[in-house]
Amino acid sequence: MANLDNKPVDGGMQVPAKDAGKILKKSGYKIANNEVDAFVSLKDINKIYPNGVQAVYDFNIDISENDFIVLVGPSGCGKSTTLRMIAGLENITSGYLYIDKVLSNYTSSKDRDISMVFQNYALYPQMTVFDNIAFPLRARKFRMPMEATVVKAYNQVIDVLDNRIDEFKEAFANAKDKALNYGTTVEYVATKMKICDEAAKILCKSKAASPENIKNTAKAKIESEINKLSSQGYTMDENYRLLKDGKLQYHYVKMSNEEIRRRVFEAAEILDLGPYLDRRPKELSGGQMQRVALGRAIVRNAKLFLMDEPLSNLDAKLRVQMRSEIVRIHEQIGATTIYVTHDQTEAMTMATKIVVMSKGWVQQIGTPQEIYYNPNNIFVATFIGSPAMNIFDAEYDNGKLIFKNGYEISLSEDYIERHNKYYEAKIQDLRRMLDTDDFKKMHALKVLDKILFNLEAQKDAYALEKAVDDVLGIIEGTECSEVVKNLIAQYKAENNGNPKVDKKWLLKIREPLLTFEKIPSRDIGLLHNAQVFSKEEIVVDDTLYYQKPKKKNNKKNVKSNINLNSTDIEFINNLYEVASNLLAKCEKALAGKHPIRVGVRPEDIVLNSEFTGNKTEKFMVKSNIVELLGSELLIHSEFADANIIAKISTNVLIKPHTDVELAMNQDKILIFDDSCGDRI
Amino acid sequence: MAKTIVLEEYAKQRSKRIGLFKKYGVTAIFLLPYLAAFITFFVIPLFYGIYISLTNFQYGKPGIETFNSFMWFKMIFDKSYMPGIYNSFWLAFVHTIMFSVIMVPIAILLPLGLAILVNQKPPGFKLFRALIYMPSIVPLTASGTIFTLLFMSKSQHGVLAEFFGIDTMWFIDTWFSFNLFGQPVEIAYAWIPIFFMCLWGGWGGNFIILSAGLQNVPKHLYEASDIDGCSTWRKILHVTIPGIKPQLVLCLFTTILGYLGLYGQNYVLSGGGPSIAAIASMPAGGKTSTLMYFIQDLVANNLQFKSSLYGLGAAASLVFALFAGIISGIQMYLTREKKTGTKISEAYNKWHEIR
Amino acid sequence: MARNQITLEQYIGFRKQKEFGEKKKVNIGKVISFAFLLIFCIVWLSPFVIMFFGSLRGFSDTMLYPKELFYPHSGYTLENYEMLLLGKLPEGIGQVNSVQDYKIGTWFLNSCFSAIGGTVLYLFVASLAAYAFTFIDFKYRNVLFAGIIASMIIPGAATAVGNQSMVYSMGLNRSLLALIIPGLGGVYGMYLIKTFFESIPKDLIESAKMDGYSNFKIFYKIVLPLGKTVLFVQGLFGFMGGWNDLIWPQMLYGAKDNDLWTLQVGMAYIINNSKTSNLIGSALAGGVICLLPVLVMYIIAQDKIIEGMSSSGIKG
Repeated sequence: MANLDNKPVDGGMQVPAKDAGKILKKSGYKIANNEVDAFVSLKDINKIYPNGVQAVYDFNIDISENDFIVLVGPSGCGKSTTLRMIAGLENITSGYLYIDKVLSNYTSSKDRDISMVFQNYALYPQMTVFDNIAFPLRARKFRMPMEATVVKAYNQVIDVLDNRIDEFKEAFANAKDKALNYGTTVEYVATKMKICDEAAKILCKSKAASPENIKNTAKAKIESEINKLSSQGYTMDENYRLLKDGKLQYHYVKMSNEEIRRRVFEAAEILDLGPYLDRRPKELSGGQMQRVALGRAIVRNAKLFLMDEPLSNLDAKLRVQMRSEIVRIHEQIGATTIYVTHDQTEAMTMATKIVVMSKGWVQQIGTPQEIYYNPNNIFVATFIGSPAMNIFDAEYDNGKLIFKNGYEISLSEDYIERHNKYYEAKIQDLRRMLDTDDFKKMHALKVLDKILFNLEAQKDAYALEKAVDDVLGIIEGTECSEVVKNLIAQYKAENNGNPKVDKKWLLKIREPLLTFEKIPSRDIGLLHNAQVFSKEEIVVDDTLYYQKPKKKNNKKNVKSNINLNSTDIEFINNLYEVASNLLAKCEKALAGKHPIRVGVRPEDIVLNSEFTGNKTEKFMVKSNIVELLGSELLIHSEFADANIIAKISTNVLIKPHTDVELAMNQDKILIFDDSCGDRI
Repeated sequence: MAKTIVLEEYAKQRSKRIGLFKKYGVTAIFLLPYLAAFITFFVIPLFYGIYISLTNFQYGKPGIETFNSFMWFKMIFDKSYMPGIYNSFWLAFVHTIMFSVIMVPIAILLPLGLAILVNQKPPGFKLFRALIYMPSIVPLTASGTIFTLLFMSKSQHGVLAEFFGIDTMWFIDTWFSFNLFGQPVEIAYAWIPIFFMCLWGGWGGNFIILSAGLQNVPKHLYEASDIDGCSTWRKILHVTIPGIKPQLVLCLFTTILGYLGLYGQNYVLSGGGPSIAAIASMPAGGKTSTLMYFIQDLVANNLQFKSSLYGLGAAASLVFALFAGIISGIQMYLTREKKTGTKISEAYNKWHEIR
Repeated sequence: MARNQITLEQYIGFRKQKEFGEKKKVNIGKVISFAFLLIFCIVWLSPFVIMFFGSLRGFSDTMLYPKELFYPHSGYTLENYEMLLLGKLPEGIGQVNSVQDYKIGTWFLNSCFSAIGGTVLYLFVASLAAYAFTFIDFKYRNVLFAGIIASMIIPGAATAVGNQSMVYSMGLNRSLLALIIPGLGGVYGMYLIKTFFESIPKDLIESAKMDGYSNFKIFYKIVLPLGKTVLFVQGLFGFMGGWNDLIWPQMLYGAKDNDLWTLQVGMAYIINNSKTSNLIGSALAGGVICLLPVLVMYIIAQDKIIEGMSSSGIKG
């Protein structure tokens, strides 16, 4: 516990290597970074599981105090992993996590000063609600100013006896009245008289029968205690806190029962849990259990709140209720909160800042408004908002969007310019990418693997040798070309120039090629989106994660000990290919007509007759289903080979299976690139 | 004139009749075999046993017995009535209790420790689990042969005697003796082989149950306690032990009942002996006798006792059953659902009012 | 060739992980527990080995070279088994009076009859009753069931003597049936089967009824196949219980009637006669014979047995 006293050292300090250990030890292994100005800061956080699946890529976020951050995404997107890393329940593979400027990667979760609400509440089943909420307070010691408790207690006793003796007698009688047990009597008196438990205990024991006697003993006790303290060099201020050399003295102590009771009751008050304090979790409903879990989290006044899908086990109505409850508590307490959910409604309604994640990548960070109106890409656009955004496949032809059924929208100059700029930038980026060593290696690897895994079928040794030469050609100029060249030369020397390609040799060449782990995560991210969000290669989505060999022992065979250099592994995608395909598409896009995707929010599809703003040409659809949502109507219909949903106000009643004349709000149309899903 | 009935009414009655038959007929077919067996071999014998214990019933000659004014129970509870039987019964009782007191904690703590180790999931933990349970499936007699071989005397080349040079006459010598309520109680060395036999194969079920219990302790509770700032010790105290409490209680009481009914081990290894000179002719008059041994001696092993003291066996088994029943009763009492009070919420209310 | 298919991203993940050096920490707890368990298992399984090799040791070796436990002085021999099974006395064993009484074959068959017959019959009767208690609604069902469950508090000892006389009065005291029938009223197995049946969704039964299935058909076609595993596990425990039971067969056939003894009773008798170095080998051989069926069964169905044991602990 002693190390909590230590001031963290500045992590940016340059120190001699051999002293580093000593300095760290002196500071209790606490490192601060004063350049971090956010309250919680995640820098390039990566998480790779032992089976090689990277759950989180380069997570960067700065969270300022009192923020309510919601991490949202479909299941398996890494949001919970991120939260658990912040909580310290999961190791951080790489990157830096600062909580309150302190580097927290290596501190255990109990030293991070966080509290967490779990999805399944994680209440201790054998404890009452009171004990559950009090548990975090009892489990650890807290830093408190040292107090002369004895002096305080006896002074209060004297005070009560002098001035408030009747009040005490009344309180004492009242407490007895309800036939509560002894403990509660003291506590009741203590609370009622606003004195500490010790004082109440002394008073209750003596029942204030002979005030003079008590006062005398009290005075004697106070005197001896003060003498003892002053002999130790302490002085006392008016609040009975101890001072040494004019400074307040702190120590780590268990919280007193009085304090625990006060805090738990306060939490119970906030959460409306008073009547349930005696119950066990089993006897509570889901919403109540959730509140207890919240109570356990807030009772400690931790700096940071973490919530891991806390509402997902509740039914719909309760969820809405608890949602506002949590927001209310957040406002009341003001603690910084990180909240994980898969429900975009929760995210939109609660967050001050939303982080949308997919497959380990942060897709967008922003306020709910930003995310809703300016989604970064098609994933964010479709994930956020209910009903989901309508997406149409269309063709872009020189400033015109041509839908499948021939419907046309012409875009403004502004849009066209943006379109061109977007593709130019992309092409440049991809060219740079393809020019790096790592991509060349991947390309070479693909060529090599083609030979390697078809070795039995290939009989023409000369063709094989030529292929090997191709490989050499591809990696010309990279750092491993020398190695490969030497390998080939060595081999040729051994075989006296006879062309004979064997597997061993190919594997040897393969080895230096398999070193492309230095690709920046940003590039992988871009290509990842290209694989996942592009329409044609949607199949890749399913195979992106590790596929177990279809053998009997495939239960938990995702082992960390796959031999990375062996032929056991087969690559099912090739980033070089992805990148070059993307490049080709972008080039084509810049040249002229190309497919594109158009997104329109349901509320931006409007009734032609009603809407007066800047709208597109009207079109007729047949309403299939009409849902009345009170103030709004949802019209499901078909347009341009896509199911569309339009949300309109109920001023006009529309019946199912009738023709409706609609239009789109021209200003709100979003265009997404077809090949990688980015918004243009 | 013939009686008439409205057809609809008839249909209703008929369907009622058939429905009744269908319902209870089917129920009877499903339930009858079991219920018949339950009544014939549980309910009736229970009362028959009580009846036997109250009469001078003779095995194999039912029908001629008469009430004997609690003679059998007097033998057990009245010291002066038949001192030999009184002594041998209560000696057996003392033996049983003492052995249980020693054995039960071991039979809980040893498997608990092993379960904790297995729960660390070391490589091959499933195999370990299977192997650790294995001795518990071994029939008593089979393990009896092994422990006989181990503990045979030096003259018979027992393994312990040969390898470690221990020349104790395990099944003959007396270890130590003490006085209990003025009665000398001699503890025979023979208890040691019995102890080892129980130690070897007497707790496998507990082990499996406890390790299943440990696995069932929810992981998120450990995580929550991590965040709440618990030390390892507090985690054990507040998460692990409460988490396996039902299993612990179950194991505790099945084990207690199991060792109260100790019979096979001492029968196979020592035959209840070595005998005590003073009560050698009494049922279970040996230094390793137990309650179950006493009963079994009366009603099965010794034909002479069986014919003359059969009712005593019934009485003794009732006394034993009552004793065991009380213990299961305690278990049920302990595992009942406890109601929580309203103390804290009342305190809260007051606190709230004051505010 | 089945290769592990991975994506390049994943490969990069692997490499990065190596680079970041996030190796699996060697878990000290695991190492300690492994070492301890290994030693423990070796010690705890050694009696099996001693028994097995002891049974293969000739009687003269046992007497003359008792220290050679695992490599008998004059080689492995089956003479102990011959003595038990065939009544063939090896030369030089001297006066052995009671060996001829050993009817190990008969006892083995009796045990088989008792264990297998009892188990099968009990499973049938108990599952019928469990079905009735779960799926058929009749008057006083819950009261009846509660009464039966409450009877579990009464230990078997209370009824054993009465049962013994009951069986005698029924004239079964010289019949093997007496080994089986009294067990049919057992409560615990029925209770476990019923708890499992309760986990079968009621809708399934009701929809079958709508389709016109009778109760028997539902029992046979739906409930039994679904409850296969629990019945199997119960069967295993029943078999082991029946095979290992000593008290009840002893009460039934006691000191006489060694034609009706089960293996356990017989073995207890053999051990009693074999507490000398020249005969202990035969007792060990008997032990092996006695152990073999349960051991084989355990090895085959070990996971099921452990699973059943675990779940009974969790639920019970």
